Amino acid sequence: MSRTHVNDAAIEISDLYVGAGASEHPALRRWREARLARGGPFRPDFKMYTGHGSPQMTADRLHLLQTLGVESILLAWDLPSQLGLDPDHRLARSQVGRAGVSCSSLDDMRTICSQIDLKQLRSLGTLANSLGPIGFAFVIEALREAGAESTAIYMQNDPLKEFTARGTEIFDPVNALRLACDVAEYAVRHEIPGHAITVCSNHYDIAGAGPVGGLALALANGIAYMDDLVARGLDPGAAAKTISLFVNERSDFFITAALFRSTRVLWSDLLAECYGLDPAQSDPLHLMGYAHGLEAPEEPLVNVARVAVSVAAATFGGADTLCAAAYDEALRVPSDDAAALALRTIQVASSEHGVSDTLDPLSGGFKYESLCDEIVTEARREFDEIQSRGGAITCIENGYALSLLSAGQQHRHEQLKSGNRLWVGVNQYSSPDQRHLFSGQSQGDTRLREAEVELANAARERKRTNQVATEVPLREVEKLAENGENMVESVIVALRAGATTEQVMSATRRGFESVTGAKTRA
Amino acid sequence: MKVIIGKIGLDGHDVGIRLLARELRDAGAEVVYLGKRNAPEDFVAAIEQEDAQAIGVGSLTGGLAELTVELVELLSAKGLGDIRVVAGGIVEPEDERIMKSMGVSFFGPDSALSDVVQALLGEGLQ
Repeated sequence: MSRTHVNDAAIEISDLYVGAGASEHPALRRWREARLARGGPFRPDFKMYTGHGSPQMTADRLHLLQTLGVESILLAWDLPSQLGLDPDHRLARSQVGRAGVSCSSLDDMRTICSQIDLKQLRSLGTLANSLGPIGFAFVIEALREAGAESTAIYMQNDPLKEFTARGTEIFDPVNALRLACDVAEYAVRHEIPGHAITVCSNHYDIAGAGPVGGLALALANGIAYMDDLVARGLDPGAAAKTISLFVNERSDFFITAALFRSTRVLWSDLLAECYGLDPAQSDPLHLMGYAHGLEAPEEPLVNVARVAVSVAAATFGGADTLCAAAYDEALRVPSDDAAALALRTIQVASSEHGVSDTLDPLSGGFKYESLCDEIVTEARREFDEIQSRGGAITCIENGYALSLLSAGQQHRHEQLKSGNRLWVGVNQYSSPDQRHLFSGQSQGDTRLREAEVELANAARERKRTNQVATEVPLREVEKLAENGENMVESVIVALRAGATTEQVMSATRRGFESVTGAKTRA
Repeated sequence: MKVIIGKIGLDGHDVGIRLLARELRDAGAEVVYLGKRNAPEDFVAAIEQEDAQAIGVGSLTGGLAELTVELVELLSAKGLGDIRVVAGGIVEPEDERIMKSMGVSFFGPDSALSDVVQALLGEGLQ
């Protein structure tokens, strides 16, 4: 056991404190052993979810963040890119580069990555929830071309939550799951480092399910992915290794920490029950978090304090990788100074003040252990309910998943309105005349409209130029979509030939549509 | 009183607008919900088809102001300038000013649903 005393009191701080009352669940024992073997500091990777405007604008941002010490990057794509629409599509108008970077070709991805050292990153990834093979292909190609194959790929690639909580679904749930699992299967069979699927409870939480209901929904989705991967003949242990979980909580420090730790227990129990995986022999679950408070647009800079508290909670709970909300995130896609300050917030609040000296530092606390037990019990109860109603996909189709979301959002709103839940600067200490003190430097980016026109023209030109070269690869994508084979390799080939996201998605759609009932895999 | 509501642009966060649909219904309005991923012209087509009196559009992810302005211009061009337009979401302060100058009622993310209902139904509120 190692000790430190880098505090002014010269008091020795141990990397683990053990005693009566601490949970001895085998998954937690295994996690502590593995984590202690790696040594401190016991903090998450510094990750940023970022991207805005054109690929070049995002390249500049990534360079800035790497200079400031970012360790992992999760690329934020704009909505057209997430939905498989090129910048010249009718519905893309006024949406290009707004909620993230426009990325619809391998050339775009090359530009995005052109000013960072990919070998220095611990991980690179993107969401691509409904077009997993394309997002994965962009990332893997960027890493291969940079000779950075040992940099891990962390995809979100979790389409099932999109149907109710986030809204970028494209195909039906069965085909959506198939595409996601094509990526995971490819990653396992090719031993790609990282995680091909990040199962999210975060979006369910904020959509109204709350952290516990959200976790239950996410666990059910996780089991749906696992079932599909195991049905493809993958070893359950290998399949489990490619899945990570992303949990979140925005209203309570202790519940946030407890949620992270409880997720390890719940997921491990399910893997043991469903697939016979022994927690003592399994790799610990990889947990992602995104530090949020209840960010208010009224006094943006004040959000930094909220997010800092959340960073500490996630660190105490054992998050492995962590993003942090920028102070202006309630208003717009973060500006440079807000993104930089978000990174500094993770760095400070997970490293200074002794926050990262001790692993699982709340362990054994009466309150903490009690909260952990309650979360495990309640999330498990709701998970069992979802399973008894047919599981994740059936509960999307029959509306049960959606029914878990609607109630909570109103509840949150009423608590804030009544003042039962304190919200500084909004329902407490409200100072409308002093808001200028808390505005920061954030402002809208005036270059976005110009960028949209340029990107739409470039997309049109790319499709014209590459028409001949992409014809055969796109036919192959369509064929594999139709006959149910893994599509990842064909997508990589099509993108290399210069196909755009929209062209690949259109070929995929044609393939799906030619299958009666579209149930392409058992 | 008949109201058309829907997400404009590509933002798919629809929990809030579904709640709004319920509140409008409870207030006595007939609600036509267009769902996600609508262009401005989809709302104009719906107004013509349904003979409704108000439109509510929402987006949390950018482009709301441009698309709403386009919607108001399309309505005017069709002689439907008296249709009430309400927009909900996140916009820059300048864009909020532009929308308001064109007669659009705007609501930020923390607005009370009852206020949005009031703006949509106006005199038609029962």
